Amino acid sequence: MRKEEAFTQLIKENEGIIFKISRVYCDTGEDQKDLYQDIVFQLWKGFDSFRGESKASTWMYRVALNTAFTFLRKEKRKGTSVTIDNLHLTYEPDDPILEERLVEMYVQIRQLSDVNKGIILLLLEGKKYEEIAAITGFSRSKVATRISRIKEQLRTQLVK
Amino acid sequence: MELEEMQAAWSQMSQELEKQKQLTDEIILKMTQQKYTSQWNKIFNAEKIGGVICYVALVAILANFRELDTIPLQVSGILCMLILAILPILSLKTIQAMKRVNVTSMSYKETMKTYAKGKKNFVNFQKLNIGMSFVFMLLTVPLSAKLFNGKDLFETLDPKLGIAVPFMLIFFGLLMWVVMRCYKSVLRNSEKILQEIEE
Repeated sequence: MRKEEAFTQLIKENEGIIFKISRVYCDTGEDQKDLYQDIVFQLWKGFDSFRGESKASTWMYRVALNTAFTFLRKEKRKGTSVTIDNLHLTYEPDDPILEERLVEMYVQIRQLSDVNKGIILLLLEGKKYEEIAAITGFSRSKVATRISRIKEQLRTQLVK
Repeated sequence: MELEEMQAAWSQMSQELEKQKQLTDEIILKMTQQKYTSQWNKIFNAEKIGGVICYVALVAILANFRELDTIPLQVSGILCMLILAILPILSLKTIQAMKRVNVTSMSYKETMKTYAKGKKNFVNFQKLNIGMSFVFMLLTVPLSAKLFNGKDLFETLDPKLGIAVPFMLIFFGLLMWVVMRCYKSVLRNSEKILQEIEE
């Protein structure tokens, strides 16, 4: 299979991951689109060096989280973004109750620190502590401690 | 919203997202084909041009060094050449350290750590840079007077200097104040990131 084909297939299979990470780290639609594009570009750049030593999704989460972290800190984002008219990064759930819950959820997540944002995202994705540790580089026990702190913070935010 | 409720909403959203796939091969390839030049690359190129200018100036001082016929002028010349030789190298090194953040191979923790440390070094270097630039500016006054006009300001003081030097001091004082204000929050953020990782 050609490199381009293998890459596009990987991205299509996992586009939800990129969408969700973009939405957790960026508030506005325009920034989400920019970050989304940046993540795809970084994945392409690293695709040759990815030799399947880890699971494709583990590698994708790692690159996407790293890209989100550095993306937010670029003082002036001057990477020329291509206008992609066909891509509308909007997700509109049919269920208004779900929509309301999602908005509330993003508000809660965005109040967390960068490290904790990444960890909760992975937890919500159903990742086990070991997988979260492999993606983030923290030890399993550190991940467990952080998750219990995140739970605590979410409860506190709820009271406020 | 508690974690369990979040998990339920997230899972429902993930299922719906699976049904709403939007990407096509064309869009993916279009996204990857863009010419991406990061801000750091731009700074790096500007620094390279600055480095070349510094080395041209260094060669010019060295070529005319025999015209600096007194000890104070020679000391000024040597100090100027040292600054011109060392600062561009240090500058390129700190920027290269920032570029070492490789998002495709590092873990999230390593990325944050490398980024925050690189940023701290960059800011500290910028402080040193401004201090050295001030010394350099002071040293170039007698040097350029001697090399361009043949005047030795260490022996015959020009009254115009009484006006020029205070202006230089005020200018540098203001520049230092502005730069420090800008970098303070950068340093604070870097410290916060490092602290957050270690918690």
